[in-house]
Amino acid sequence: MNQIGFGKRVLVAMSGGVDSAVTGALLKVQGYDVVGVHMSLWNEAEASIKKSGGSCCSIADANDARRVCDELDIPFYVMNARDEFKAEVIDYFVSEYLHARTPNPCVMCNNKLKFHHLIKKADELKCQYVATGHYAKVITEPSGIVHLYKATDTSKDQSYFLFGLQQEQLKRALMPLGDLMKVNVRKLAQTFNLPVAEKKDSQEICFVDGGSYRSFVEKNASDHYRPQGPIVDTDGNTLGRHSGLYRYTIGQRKGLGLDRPDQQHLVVVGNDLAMNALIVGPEEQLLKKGLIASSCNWIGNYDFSQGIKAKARIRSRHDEADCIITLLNEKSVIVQFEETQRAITTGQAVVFYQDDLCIGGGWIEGLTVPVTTKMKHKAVGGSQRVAL
Amino acid sequence: MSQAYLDYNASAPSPFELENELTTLIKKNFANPSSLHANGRQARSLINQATCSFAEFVDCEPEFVYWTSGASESNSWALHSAIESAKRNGKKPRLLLSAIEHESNLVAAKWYGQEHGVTVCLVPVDSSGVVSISFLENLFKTDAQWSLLCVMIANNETGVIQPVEAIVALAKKYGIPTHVDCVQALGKMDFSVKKLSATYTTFSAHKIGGLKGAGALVVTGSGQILSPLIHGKQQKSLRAGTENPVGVGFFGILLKKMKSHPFANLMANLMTMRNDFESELKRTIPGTIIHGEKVLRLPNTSCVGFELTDGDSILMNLDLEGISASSGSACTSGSVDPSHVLLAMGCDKNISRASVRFSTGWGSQWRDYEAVLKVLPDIIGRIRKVATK
Repeated sequence: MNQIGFGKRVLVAMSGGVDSAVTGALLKVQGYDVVGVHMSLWNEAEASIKKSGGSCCSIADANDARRVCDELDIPFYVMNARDEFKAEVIDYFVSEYLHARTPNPCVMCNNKLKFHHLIKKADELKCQYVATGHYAKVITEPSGIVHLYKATDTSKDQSYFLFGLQQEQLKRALMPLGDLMKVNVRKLAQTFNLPVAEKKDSQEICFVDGGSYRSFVEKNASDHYRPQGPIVDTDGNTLGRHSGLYRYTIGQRKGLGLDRPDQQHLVVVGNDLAMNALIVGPEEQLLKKGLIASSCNWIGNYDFSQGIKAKARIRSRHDEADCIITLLNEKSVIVQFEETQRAITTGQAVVFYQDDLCIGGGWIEGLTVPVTTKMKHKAVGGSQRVAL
Repeated sequence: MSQAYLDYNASAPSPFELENELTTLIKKNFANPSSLHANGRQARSLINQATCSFAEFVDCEPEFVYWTSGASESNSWALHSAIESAKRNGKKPRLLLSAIEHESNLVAAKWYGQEHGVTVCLVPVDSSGVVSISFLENLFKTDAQWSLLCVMIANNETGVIQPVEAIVALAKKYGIPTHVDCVQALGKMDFSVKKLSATYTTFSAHKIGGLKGAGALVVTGSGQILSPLIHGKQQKSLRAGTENPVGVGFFGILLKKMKSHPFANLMANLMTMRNDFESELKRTIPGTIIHGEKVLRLPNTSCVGFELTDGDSILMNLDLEGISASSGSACTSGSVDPSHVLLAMGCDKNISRASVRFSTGWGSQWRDYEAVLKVLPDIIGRIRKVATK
C-alpha cells in the first residue's frame, strides 16, 4: 500500500455525501491521519427532518457523515459555521436577487466560506491539509505555484466553483477525486463499505429546501420591498407588469404573462433596476459578444499586456467559448467572445480555461453593450410597492 | 491510546467492578415485573430492593419514589404535575426557574410557556453562578402566586452549589411548591431529601455510573401532587410503562455499595487535585478564567474559560490528544451554542463560547489532569494564533 500520507494530518470536509466519504477513505488508505469535519451551515434544513438528502447541511447529513467516520474509524466533529454562512452566502444570495442579479451561492460558499474556515480549523487542529470531495485537480508546479485543473471526469468537473481559491489555500488543498470517474467513486464507496454508497447526489441549492428561490428571497428579505413594475421592450413600449425583478432570469420565456400571439416569442433580455423595469425582446437580443467581469482571481501568473486567449464558462453548465481577456484594471476584465453567447447573466461567475487548466475567473458585472430600454424615467413612483 | 476521561458530569463509568453482577441481573430479571409468576416476582423484587437502597441513600420514604427513564423525564414530569395541580386548584399555572437550570427543565418550561400559555419567569444568578435569594425574597413579598419554583442543588456546568435548603424554606413560607434537580449532587455531596423537603426531587442513574435509561422522581407527601405524563397502570397509575428492572436494579446495587464506601475521602482527594489543576492552568495559560472559583462548588468540577479561544476547538484538540472533556451540556448535534449558564452569570458570548468543563470522579487520577496540563497550553496558543491571524 502506498503510504504517501504517512504521519500527515488532514482535515476532510465531510458533507455526508458519497464524494467526501470516498475522499476520507482514500486518504486514510494512503496513510494520512484523517480528521472528519462536518460544517453545519444552515438551520432551516434541520427543521425538515423528514426530508433527507438533497441538501448539504441537515442533521440527517451530519449523521451520515458521522456514520462514514465511524466506518473509517476516524474522529468526527461538527463545526458550526451558521453565522458565517448567513453573512457570506445567504445575505449575498438575497441581496443579489434584490439587485436584479442572479447569484451563484455555491461559488461564493467555496470562495469566501468553506476553504477559509476549514483552513482555520485545520490550523487549530494541527492539520497540514484540507481535503474535499470536489472533482478538480490541484497540482503543484516545480516553480512552487499551485495550479487548478479540470477533473478527469469532465461531466462532474467542479473547477468552476473553485476559481476564487488563493495560492495559500490551494497549497493546503487535497482533492483526490480529481483523477477519478464518478462511477468509480460509487464503486469505491461500496468497496470501502461506506454507508452512503447509494445515497443520491445533492441537487440544487442546499439551503433552498425544496421550494423556490423566490419565496426564499422573500422570506429572508425583511428590510426590502418587492416592487412590481413594468415589462417593457427595448423601444420603451410597456407590454405588461412584472412582480419583482428578482423573480425573473435572463432568457426566461414562461411566466411573463405576455399572452398575445405577437408576444409569444419574447424572452427576458435584461432589466433596468433604476426604473424597476423588466426588459423583454426577441431571442436574438440575448446573443452578446462581450462582458465585463470584476473581483477577478488568477490562479498563477499571467501576462495580460497583449490580452489572453482562453475559453470561458459563463455559468456552471455552459459549453466553453473562445474569448480574449483584456485587463481593465487589476481586478476587472473585458471578455470578448469569438462568437455570440446566449443569456450572459450579471451576478454569475465567469471562469477561464486554457485546455484543462483553470486560470481564474471573476463575477459578471454586465455586458460590453448593455441591454437598455428607451422607456422614459417615470415608472417607479407609479408602481405598486408590496412590503415583503 | 487510552483516553483520559474528564467528563464525569456528562456520564460516569461504574465505580466498581460489577460486570458479573450486571450479567446476572440481565439473565435473571428478564421477566415483566408486573407478572404474577415467579419470574415476574423476581424482577419486581429487584426493583423493590433498589427502591429501598435508593431511599436509604438519598434519605426519603420508599413509597415516594417513582422510577422514570431518566432525569429529563423526571424534570418534565415535575413541571407537568405542578402545572396540572395549579389548574386543578383553579389557578393560572406560573413557573419560576433559576436561569441556570438544566436544559431539560428550561426547554420544557419554555414549551409549556409557548404552547400552553404558562407564565415562565427566570431567577437570576450572581456572577459566581449562585441563585439570588434576595431576588426571591423581594419577589415573593409582592408576588407569591407561583405554581413551582425550580432550583438545582449543584450546577452541571460550573459545579456551583446552590443554597437550596434556604430557598426551599423560603418558598415554603409562601406556600410555593418546589422542584430540586439533584442529578449532579448525587454521590458527590451530602444531602437529605427529607431534610430538603422539596415537593419534587429528580435523579439520574448514569451520572454515578449506572445505566442510561433509569432515573427517579421523588415527591414529599402523597402522590396527589403527581399527574401522569404517560398513562397506564404501573406505578400507582402515575407513571405507566413496564419498569426497567435491570437499569433500576443496577442503580440500587451501585447506591448500596456507595453507601458503605468512604466517598467523602474520595471527594476530598478530588477537590485537592481539582484545585491544584486550576492553579496550574492559571499559572501556565494567561487569560484563564475559572467560573465560580470563589464560591462553594462540587469537588470534581472545573469550568474554565480561555480568552480568545473557542470551546469546540479546544475540545476537538483535546480529543485528538486522547482527552475527553466537554463544554457544558452534551449536545447531540456535536456543536454547541454559548452556555446559558455562563451567559446567566454575566459572561459575554465570547467567553461563554470559549469555556470548557473538566469533571472527574471515582476513577480519576492526577495523571488525567496532567495529560490536560501537558497539551493545553499549546492548544490554546495555537487557537489564539489562528483567531488573531
